[in-house]
Amino acid sequence: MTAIWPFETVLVANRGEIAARVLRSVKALGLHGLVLHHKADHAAPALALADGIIEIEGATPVAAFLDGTQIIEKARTAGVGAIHPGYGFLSENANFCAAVAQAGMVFVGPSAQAMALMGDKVRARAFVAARGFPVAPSAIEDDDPETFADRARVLGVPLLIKPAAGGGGKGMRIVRDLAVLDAELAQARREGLRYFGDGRLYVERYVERPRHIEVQILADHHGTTLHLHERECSLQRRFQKIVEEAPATTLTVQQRKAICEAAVGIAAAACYRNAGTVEFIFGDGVFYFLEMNTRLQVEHPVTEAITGLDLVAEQLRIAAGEKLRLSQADIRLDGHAIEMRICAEDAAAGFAPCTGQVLAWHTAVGAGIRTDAGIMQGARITAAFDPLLAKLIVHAPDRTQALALARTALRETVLLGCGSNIGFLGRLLAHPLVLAAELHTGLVEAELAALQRPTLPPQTAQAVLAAAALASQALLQAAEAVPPMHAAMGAWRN
Amino acid sequence: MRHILRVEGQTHHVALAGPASARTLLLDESYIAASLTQRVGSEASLTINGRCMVIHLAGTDDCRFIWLDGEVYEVAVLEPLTVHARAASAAGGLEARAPMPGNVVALPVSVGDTVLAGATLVIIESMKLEVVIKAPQTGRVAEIRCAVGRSFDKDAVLVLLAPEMES
Repeated sequence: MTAIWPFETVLVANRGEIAARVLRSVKALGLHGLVLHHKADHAAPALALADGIIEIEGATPVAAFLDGTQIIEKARTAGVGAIHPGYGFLSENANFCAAVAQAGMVFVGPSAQAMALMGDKVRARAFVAARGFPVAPSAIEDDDPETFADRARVLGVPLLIKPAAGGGGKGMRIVRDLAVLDAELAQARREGLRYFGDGRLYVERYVERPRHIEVQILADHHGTTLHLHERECSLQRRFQKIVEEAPATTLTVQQRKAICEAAVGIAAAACYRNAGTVEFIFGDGVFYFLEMNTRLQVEHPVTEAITGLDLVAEQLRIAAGEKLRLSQADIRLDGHAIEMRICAEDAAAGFAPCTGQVLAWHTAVGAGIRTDAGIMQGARITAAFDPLLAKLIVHAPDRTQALALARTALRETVLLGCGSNIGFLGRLLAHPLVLAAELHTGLVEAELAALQRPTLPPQTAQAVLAAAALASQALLQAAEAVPPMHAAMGAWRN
Repeated sequence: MRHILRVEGQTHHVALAGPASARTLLLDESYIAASLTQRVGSEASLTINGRCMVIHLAGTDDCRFIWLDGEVYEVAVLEPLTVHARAASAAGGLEARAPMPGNVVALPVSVGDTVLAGATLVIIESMKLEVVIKAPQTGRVAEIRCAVGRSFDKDAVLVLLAPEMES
């Protein structure tokens, strides 16, 4: 137990659901919590939770959250002792991480060196392979640009082309026919240049119908590196996770042990500190290192559910220099947890972003249900930020019960005023392949037609139209106008 | 007077009559006894021909959000005259509208250009997603109502096309 923290005020350099999530732990530990605010955000839960707000400005709202210099300057003036970056924005920016330390504050995360190593996907891969951990057979352009395409051909199809500076699935292309390899390489290079300002590529042997398995790591500054079990995040669309669960139920005991131990080995070799996640691709009984994320993940709550730990509190204690109070044997694995990402996306329109104002927002309440929300009544959902609005997390004794609880909780979650994927998530969690745990990263795309909302059934249409008519000022006025003696009667008001 | 209600792209003719205690709804060709009672916040109970259900609703006549059985539907109430006027104006020219709010990333056309159906008119960005706005049919660019770097709302007219002159 820390009697006196080396910092008293923690700035959460983020917004949305994660800012609220981090602030809750900051305050539970008795620390003072500040949060960033840009004027594009209205009525956000984090603003109500924070002890203070630091206003930031920028050419665009996102630019303001990426302006490390401004944030550090204002944090210093406000007497901030530690900065928690959340995820996204500056969370994996090694320069920001170093600058926070130079400004005399604590960065709640790994060292800038570990972050820089893992941030360079090609370097990270080589580092991991050199230490004997499994990576997919590959060809790296930088090794010898002249022979790159030939070396890629030797690997055989299917292949996955990735940008060396990549992330988030941008610029990744699957090649199943070597005849189009050159054209696909050229296209990937253009996309890499456009998204990352870097056209360098590498090619990996692609695993068909792969599962995405990742392992949560915690490491302190006293030589202890632990894993908090694995998560399965195979339900994705365009390399973006939609639903995550823990544990990965289809792994055998030996496979689970091997993948978790590999993750600990990789983190320890990189002298990694704080919370991090080692991601793997798993298929045909073998797993390959994919990348390491040097921050708190969006899906960390499923790990919190099965282990009973508060990951943000652990991050803050580690950043304060404390020893982990747990050993590997103390890490529980209790039941099954599922997280659903509630996004402002219209599944019927190719997942186009939706905007609007939150007119009503009801969350499910009950044992085993948690909602981490970045929205509240009155909040305006704009195109300025990414579409993640809230996360619904359920925890039950086993996967079958967790799926049932997830569907019930989704049905109780009501968002009016902005389109969302809530209905889509409900259909996804009722899909036979999801129920059978036959997951792979292409499942959502392959089953997209079956996951669409069916054409409005007549009875539903009747109910919806009747409700709209009975709530409509125009129709009520018309009804009242017909027999004038009824004009004084009350009309429905919303 | 019958109003037009639009849900999921389909239009329906609806009229309401009777006192608040006993409303009758004429929905397309069928009569329905219906009542709506507000409960707490957005929650309400809806009774249709004796069948009762809990719903949520919020919004205005232009766009009302209705939650029913885990799904949300958007319903717009339109005056028949407005619907007629829109149909008439759309016949005169072609509009390329924004399918979602966002910012203009690129604008490869100029006023006076002849564009083929499917040609890129505007590239927009919304929530990190790039979307190409294509010419709905062959025509001449009559007016550009957006600019690179500027933002716009959903359904805003970005480019107006005039029908191509027969030569």
